[in-house]
Amino acid sequence: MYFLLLILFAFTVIFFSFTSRIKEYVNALAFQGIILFFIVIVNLKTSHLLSLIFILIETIGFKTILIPYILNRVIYENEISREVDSGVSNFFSILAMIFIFSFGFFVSYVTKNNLNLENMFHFGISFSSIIAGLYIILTKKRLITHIIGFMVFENGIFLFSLSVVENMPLVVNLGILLEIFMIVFISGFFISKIKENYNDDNIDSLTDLKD
Amino acid sequence: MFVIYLVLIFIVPFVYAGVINYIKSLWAGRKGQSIFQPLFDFIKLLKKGEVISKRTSKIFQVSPVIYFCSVLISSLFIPYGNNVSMISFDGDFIIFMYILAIGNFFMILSALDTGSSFEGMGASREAIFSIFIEPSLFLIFGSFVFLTRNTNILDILESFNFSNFYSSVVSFMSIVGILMILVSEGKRVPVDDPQTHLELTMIHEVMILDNSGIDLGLINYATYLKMTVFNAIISSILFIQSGLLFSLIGFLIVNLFSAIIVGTIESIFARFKINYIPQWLLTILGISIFIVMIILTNFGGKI
Repeated sequence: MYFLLLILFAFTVIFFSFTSRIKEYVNALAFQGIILFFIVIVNLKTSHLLSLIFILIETIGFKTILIPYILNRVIYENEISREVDSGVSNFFSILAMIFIFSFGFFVSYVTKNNLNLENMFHFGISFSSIIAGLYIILTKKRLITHIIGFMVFENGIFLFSLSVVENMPLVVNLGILLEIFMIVFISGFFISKIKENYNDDNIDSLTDLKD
Repeated sequence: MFVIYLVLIFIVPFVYAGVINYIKSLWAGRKGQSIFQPLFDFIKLLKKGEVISKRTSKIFQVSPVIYFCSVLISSLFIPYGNNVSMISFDGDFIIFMYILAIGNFFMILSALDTGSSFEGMGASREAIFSIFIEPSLFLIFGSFVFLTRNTNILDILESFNFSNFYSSVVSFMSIVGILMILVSEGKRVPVDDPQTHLELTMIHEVMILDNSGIDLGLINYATYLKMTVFNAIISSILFIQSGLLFSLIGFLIVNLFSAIIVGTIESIFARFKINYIPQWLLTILGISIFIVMIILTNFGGKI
């Protein structure tokens, strides 16, 4: 089950290279939240009610419901539908994702003895997701996709922390969660303000700033 | 055994194509033709004469036969149901893929031989798509070799077991990959449309525009047979250990399901734009690389 969830997670990350519809991006992000919830539940070593509630809020509440809701609102208000000018075609994105995942697995294969990794597969997928998140941020031109790329990056870190740390302290988790929420929230406003002035949220518009 | 084998090789491909057409007509709300219609068409084409362009050389005349023979020979490597495959030796999975590739190569040559610009375009597209398909198939079979520690197709398929969760996941992903390969190698929607007659959008159909009569019949049969070969691989993965009767029924069920899937996809999806097709093929390659990764990271090459 756990293994299957990891594969599903990897496919959601690869899915970002297939599609150019922002709505699909947000749906994939929400789905990642659900997968992460089940991965944590399967991996859970404590049966403490509080930690269970926290995980539920963190993955389902924030990652699946709240953040996609905010992103959908931003998309709706700014009438964004499609990543039109991505800079890199989907074909090369898929190719890049294949390389990223190959590299991730290669790293996990090389470091398995040094890090005493129990599950190389878990490490490989989380590591690849982090790089994939960076790749999305680097290659896409819209600000909204940058936020989504950041979320993929963050989900990768979340998964990564599960593979190397047994139990993350609650305060650290809370801090990360607050940071994500603030970034998504503030970026939402930011996009709306840029849209008011430039009629677009393409980052190329920002290079035309003048005194 | 031998008779069953021959019947399966000869009848199932036509019925398979007929069921696809029947499913498509059901989706369109029509009554639909008989599921044996492709077989009747084949027999009709065998009775017809051929028109051969004066511009073509011998390559054009021999290519359909070579294509047909290559698919027929490669089909002999695969066990249908629980039958022992006709040809089997260590490392035969490599030969299997190269024989399939020889057929494609000659079809490309034949299309170029006609001197038609349209057929040349189709040939170039076919060549590009083969570049993606072959490594994918190689990686899938290569991962099977890793997983089962066998190098001949029959042993690989026979030693597949679902006791291990990892091998179940690998098998499932391989089946998805092989189904995607089936769609592209069988020249079906969304990769190619077997019914289109607008040259600019065609791939396989444009390559065989100049073929007629027996040659066209053989090419059509070979294409159906190729799809059945992939179905046979899937059914062998799933049912080969379940005895003769069940594996034969399993083979027919897999063919039926595959036909329903292909027919449904053709009915509810539009054909891809040409520049989206490499993405589809790259996805197959991605899946096969992923399978290799799963095996390498979970077994370290050992089981």
